[in-house]
Amino acid sequence: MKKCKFLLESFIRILFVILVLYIGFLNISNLKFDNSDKFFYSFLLIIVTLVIMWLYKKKFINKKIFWGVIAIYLLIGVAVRVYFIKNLNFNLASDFDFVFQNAKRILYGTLASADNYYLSFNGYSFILSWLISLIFRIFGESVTAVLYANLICQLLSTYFLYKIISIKSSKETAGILSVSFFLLPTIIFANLLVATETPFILLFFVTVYFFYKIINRKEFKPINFILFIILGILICLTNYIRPVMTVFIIALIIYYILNMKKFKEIIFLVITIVTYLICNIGINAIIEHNIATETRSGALGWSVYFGSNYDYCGSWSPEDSEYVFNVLEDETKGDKDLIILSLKRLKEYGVGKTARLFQCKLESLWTNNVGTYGFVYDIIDKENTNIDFAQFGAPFDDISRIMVILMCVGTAICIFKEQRKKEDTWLFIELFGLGYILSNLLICLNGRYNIPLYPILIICCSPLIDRILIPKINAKKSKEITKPKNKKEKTLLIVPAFNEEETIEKTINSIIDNGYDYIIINDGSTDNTINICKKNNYNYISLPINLGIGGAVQTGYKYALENNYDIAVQFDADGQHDIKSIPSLIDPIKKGQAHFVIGSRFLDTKSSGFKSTRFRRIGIYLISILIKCYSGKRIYDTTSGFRAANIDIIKKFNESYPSEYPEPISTFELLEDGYQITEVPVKMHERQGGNSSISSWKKVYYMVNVFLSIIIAKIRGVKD
Amino acid sequence: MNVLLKIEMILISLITLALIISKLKNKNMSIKYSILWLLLPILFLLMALFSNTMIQIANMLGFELLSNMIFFITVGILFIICFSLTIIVSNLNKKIVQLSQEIALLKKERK
Repeated sequence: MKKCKFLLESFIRILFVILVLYIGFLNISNLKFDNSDKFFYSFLLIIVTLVIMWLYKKKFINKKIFWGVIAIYLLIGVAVRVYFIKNLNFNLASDFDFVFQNAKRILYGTLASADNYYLSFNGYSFILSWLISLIFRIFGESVTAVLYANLICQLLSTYFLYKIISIKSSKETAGILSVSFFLLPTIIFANLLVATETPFILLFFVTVYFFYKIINRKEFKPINFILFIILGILICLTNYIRPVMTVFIIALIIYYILNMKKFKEIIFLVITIVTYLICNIGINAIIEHNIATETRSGALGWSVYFGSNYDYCGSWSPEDSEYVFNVLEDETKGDKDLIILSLKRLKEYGVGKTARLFQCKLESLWTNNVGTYGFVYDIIDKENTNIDFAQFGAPFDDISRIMVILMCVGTAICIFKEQRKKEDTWLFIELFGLGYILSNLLICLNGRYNIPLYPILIICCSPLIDRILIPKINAKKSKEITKPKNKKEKTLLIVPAFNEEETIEKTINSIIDNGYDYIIINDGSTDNTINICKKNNYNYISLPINLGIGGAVQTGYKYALENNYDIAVQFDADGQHDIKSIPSLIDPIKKGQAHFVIGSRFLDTKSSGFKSTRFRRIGIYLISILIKCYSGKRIYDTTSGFRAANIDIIKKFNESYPSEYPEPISTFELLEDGYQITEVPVKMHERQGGNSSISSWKKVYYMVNVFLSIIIAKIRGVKD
Repeated sequence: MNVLLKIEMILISLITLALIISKLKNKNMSIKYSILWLLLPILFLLMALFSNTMIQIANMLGFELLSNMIFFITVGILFIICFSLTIIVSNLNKKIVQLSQEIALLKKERK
């Protein structure tokens, strides 16, 4: 049974992803790159968002930076919208100013003063428009106030979307998805900010959120009753999504029928249903009263339960549309080019409905003169961006009604099953979303009706995104420190040597005097180093070709492993390292406190003696900061070649050791794998002879190489 | 530049970057030799993101079209990569010769 549910969930999620891609593709082809810049920037935004989420997953950026990015997104969204509001230029070429002013007046005037225009606002919710107009009486008939109100609605919608997504997904996913939802339309549809649908989107989110709260209250409390009523009213206030929102009501009814224990609850339920019916009937009555006679759809019965979702010719009051049309006709005097241009302008500024209106009028009233005005049909058809005249007629045909019924039944079954098993009802929201999207696909696929689609898709895709892109919190496994087998640990000094004929004798003699085991790795020296070793009978290995510092030291570690040494110490042959510091270096390993000890010149400023040139010190500091950023531990001397390793590290280095600039890279890899590293202060002397193996020209290449290696090691992640 | 072209360039450069980084991740390629290869996708990204600036630079350098400059630079980078590979191969060859000689001498000593 669990497998069935998992399969169902996976199937639904994959279906969602396919739907997202399909709808996105359709919208892309609709755009036809008219708004090509906007489209490109929105694409960039999506890529940047994905990159940020990937960086967060790989722990390149921590939580603070992540939330900072989200805050920046919000600020950019608000700034762009405010900029558009301030610069929204309704003053077109003077030819059309008058025409457009009237269209604007109708569109926004309806929100600003209910007295004159509420009746013409009958395509939308009467109650809501009346409420909004009441508020804006305070501001006067100000278009700007309306636009700022839209902005606030959008911010609130973003917040509620965040709350809904964070029910099931992590807060980070919720944050970034909801903020992308806020920012993305700004770029694609700059005119979205003037759309009057924003309050309805907000209501949609609030309704879903409240509904989820109600569904998840296991016990029935009085607060549920209040939530019921609010929910009923909210659903009635939402416009074209009202028919689908009815699913919630029916689902709630079924849920409570199945789970009711007390008689009180029936009364509450009845009151809620009655409220919903009154609101719904009231709205429909007004709509029915005010619609024009061109098209009417649905019997009253359907519209009671599913609401009216009309978009017909007469959705604006006949008087107003007549008025605008007459004005247009007067202004253009039948001039073909002017009519086309005016319709284009009207469309650009988001009053596409007016353009549709004109076409409808032309069809219905001017049938005799189709020859004269039929060209408008052709032009608008060819333009065909964001206006689909097939939307005419009632969107609620039989197929969509069947879809809605199926959705209700499916939702009810889901709630029933999940409540019985006491599981959470997230799957129900997904099913609802799926049904909504499918029903919309059948009805209409572009323009404003798409606006609820995007957030629903985001809500439903969020668990999938969560699973893929947010890191699981795995504590880094810290490795155990292997205790040496013998009581007395065998220590080996690895002495890599390349052309060190001047100092090798002195160094090795001091090692022998202090009684340590050692091995010289002759890395293809071309001078007398090898002869000196032969002459003094030193313990040495001679590599046939020059492998570099990495290969030489790794040879030393291989020797240490083969000869059963417990501790290996890297010791330079040029006399820079102080032999007396070795006991303090291997002390943490002997005590079992660390796997790896680095002798640092920068821990204790007094006793360390020689430090390298200024340039090198800056480089070392930069690498130290880099390692701190990506692994959290501050290593002060990252390029020190004076290091001690215990048996675990000997085995690891035996398998892999970086070949170029090995010190910082190997340190970082050890940190990533969870080994314990400590630093002890040591003394270092000035280089007594010979040249450094890193020439000055290669220093830039050094930094680039180290930087890249650390990033790659970070991407590799923790190895088990 | 056409929007579709810009989007394609970004996608292709991201895919190429991902390919190179995945090879680096699995230690199939060492970092020393990958730096040059990383230049190509990064160049494409720059072209796509800052196409207006790039067009000005191309005009300044004397190229008539931006695409001419892209071809030129790409071919140049590929040339550098091939050249450096030849040098690396020569060095490897030398090392193989030295190793073979060492092994031969060691075998003789063992007998």
